[in-house]
Amino acid sequence: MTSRIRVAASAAVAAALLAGWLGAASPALAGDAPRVVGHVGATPRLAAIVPAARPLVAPPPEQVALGRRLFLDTRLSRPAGTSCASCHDPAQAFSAFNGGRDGVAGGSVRARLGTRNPPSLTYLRYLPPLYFYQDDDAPAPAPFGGLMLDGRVDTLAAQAREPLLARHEMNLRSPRAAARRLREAGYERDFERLFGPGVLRDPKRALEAFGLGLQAYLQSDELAPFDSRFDEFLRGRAALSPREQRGLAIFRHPDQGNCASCHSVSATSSQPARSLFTDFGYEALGVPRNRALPANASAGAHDLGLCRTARARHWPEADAWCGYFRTPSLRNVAVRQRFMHNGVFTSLRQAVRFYATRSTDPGAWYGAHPVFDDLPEALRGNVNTVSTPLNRRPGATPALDEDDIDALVAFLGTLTDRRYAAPATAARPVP
Amino acid sequence: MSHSLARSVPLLRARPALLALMTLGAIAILASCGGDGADDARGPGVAAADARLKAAWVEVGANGQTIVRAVTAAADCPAIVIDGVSFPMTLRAAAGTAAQRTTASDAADSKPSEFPVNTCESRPAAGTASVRVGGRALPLPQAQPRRIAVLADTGCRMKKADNAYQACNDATAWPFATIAATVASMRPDLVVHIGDYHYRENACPQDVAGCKDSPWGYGWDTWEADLFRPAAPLLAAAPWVMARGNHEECARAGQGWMRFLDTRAYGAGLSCDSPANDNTANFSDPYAVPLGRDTQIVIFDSAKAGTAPFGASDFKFPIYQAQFRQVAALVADGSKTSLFANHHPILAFAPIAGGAPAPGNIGLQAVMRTLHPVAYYPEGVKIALHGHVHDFQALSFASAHPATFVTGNGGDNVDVNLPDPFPAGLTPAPGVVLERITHTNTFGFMMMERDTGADAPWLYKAYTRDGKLLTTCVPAGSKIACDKTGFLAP
Repeated sequence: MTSRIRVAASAAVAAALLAGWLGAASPALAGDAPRVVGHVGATPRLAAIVPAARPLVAPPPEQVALGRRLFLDTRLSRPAGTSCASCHDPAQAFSAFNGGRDGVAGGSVRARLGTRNPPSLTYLRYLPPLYFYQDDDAPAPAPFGGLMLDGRVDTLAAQAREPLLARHEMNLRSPRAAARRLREAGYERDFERLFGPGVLRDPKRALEAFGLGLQAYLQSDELAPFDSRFDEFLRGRAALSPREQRGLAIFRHPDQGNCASCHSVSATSSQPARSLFTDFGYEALGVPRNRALPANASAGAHDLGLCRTARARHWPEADAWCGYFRTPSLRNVAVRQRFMHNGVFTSLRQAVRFYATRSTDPGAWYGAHPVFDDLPEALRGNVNTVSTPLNRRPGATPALDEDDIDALVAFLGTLTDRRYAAPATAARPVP
Repeated sequence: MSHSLARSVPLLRARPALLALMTLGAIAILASCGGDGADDARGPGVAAADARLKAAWVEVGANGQTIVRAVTAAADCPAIVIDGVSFPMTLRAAAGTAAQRTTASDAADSKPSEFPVNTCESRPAAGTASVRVGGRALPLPQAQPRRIAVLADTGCRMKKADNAYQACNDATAWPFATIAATVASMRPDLVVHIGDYHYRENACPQDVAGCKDSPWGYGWDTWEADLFRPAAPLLAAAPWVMARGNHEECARAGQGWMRFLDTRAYGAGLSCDSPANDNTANFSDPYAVPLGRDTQIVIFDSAKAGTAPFGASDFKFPIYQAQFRQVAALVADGSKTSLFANHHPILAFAPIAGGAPAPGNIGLQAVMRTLHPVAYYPEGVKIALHGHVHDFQALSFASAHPATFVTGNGGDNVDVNLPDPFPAGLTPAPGVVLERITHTNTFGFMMMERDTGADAPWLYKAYTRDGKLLTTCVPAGSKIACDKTGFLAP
């Protein structure tokens, strides 16, 4: 990787540019942002990691209220009947399938299915825009942040606009149609009060305002309550069971689960934001192809993840990033019904077991297909085969046994926000 | 820069007559306490000094020079009892606080390095049989060492830029104290540390109990926390050979390195207190330490080698080039097996998740090729030892290049593993052909061991933090054969 990332260091790039990039693009990011010290293609390289536990600017309450209405409004799609919540249901940790199947969601036109497992939106307010960082001991800079699993969008405001227009989601297709739909739904007065006169008469401004409203809601405390049992454990108000404690130890141990090397946790910090269970980094795991997806009907169709963003942003040797997807938070992971970017797994235990035995028993995961079969053959070398527990030879003893896996799953169950902790939630049928 | 430091060191060095008087005076004081000088210090003044003794250890310098160092909070250096005779130790670096300098961190996350301790030194003559400082018997170099521990990268990472706060208070997360105790229990004759002792660069956030109340910055308190306290059993068990890592360059923990560990004489120009002197103080000449009659280890300072390639136009290039010429001279004696130790791997790999492992240090390779275009190393070097990459690697080459060990798994957060099986055709440097590689990223250390018989070979054994043997490697010339290949499961 040393050779494939040539950092275009620019002496002219400095604090002013950082303010222009981070500040404007991410209003949620307050001061004390790391300096820009160079670029990889068009992506900034920062002097430091953007920490999750950083001061965030609270979104304006009026915008939060408007954003919540927009988020739940099923009149905005074409045809009507689909809202943001249809695929990101607040009752299901802001994830759902809207009548979809096999791990992907349906759109407002029900025959149209998405291509990825709808992510949970909880705790997304901490996600910084896409950037690179290189520690002095590291051989090359590595990417972090960015919305969508391929990091192609830098702000929640911009992210929120995409599904509104996307053909397989809310299907409005154009900013003009979106502005008209917002006016028809009676939002004009509220938008003008918050974003200025005539805002819904200008499609570009209308879409920007729509995004800002949704962004405010997604940044609100409703999506980041930090009230799971694990949070209470961090605050010293609750205990984990011995099995959960063991799961946490396995999660952190570099010789066992090693999960914390990407799903960051600060188990001794009373500040839960240090434990978002993601470092916002990228990983190529080589999960099995989900052959049930319509998007995969053609053998040549592949979701390549980060490398599409890498190409768009002119990173050198962009193909080196094919197969990489952003590490999601594991908060509320036990509420989810499908796992991995392509929704190929139907239980949390299956997902955890994949990590434990992908390399030791590849036949159990790929069957007669080649390993890493969701990537073109030429790109399978991008998959991580060196991190514990993914690094062992076929036939070797896995780093985790079945009891370890159970303990890990038990621990992950402690990351569920209180509102989802009711037993009925887990019993929902798998789409 | 510390004014007291600038004054006191020249004062002692410039006045041998005064030193002699002080020595005689100290002997008189100890003698007057009724002892022969060989036992624990007695008397009010000496007892107070002992209580304030923070650390005492033995280093081995060039040509096997025994260097006794002590760190004390007392105003005066403690006495050293050499073969039953007491002498005052010489002040090496006086207590002081240098003005805040530029560091690897932002100025807001840096502070002046406080050293409220005197560093003292004594260099007993060859053949010394016993040394005591503050009542502690210190281990001396063995003429024929049989067990040599090798470790590196041992400190506890607290670095704001990385958002990394290793749980220094948790032996599972930061196992250096465990490793040091394990090694000490194996009764080594010598310890070779290949750099990166200090990692507590920035403040631990108040809400993180894992490193709460840890000292930070580059002063004595951080050195005590990262090295002298956790390593105390091992410092008491054996003399150490200290190589310098990139964490000990001047903009990082260089000030402490110079005060405590560098084998050279201390002085303002080598204090790392002023960035104006960095281009001198960040480099030191290589030296050889004998490991018995037939083996020696050459210690090379690569603190500023960095990760970015550098070419002949870089100011570092001729410096390292001259130093490698010195290495060639040091290993020219063909009657000895020469090991080479520096922090940055040269003919080894840096693992990368989702990519081919990166080669060894390209800048150093470029320098070495100018002197030895094919072999990289001078002919006398048979084995190379490194740290920096936080794993264990044992590499043997089909080409004529020294077998190489990396032992950077000594306590700081480990790196990812190397791939297993290792991809065919990968090379750590142009022209180098890998034959076998054995590796793991579990925490641990290496032990060089040899039987008591004459000409017995050194065996290179990798252990886990708790002393579980992972592999044994047998050398044959510049090659090694390990009893396991590929990834070593802990």
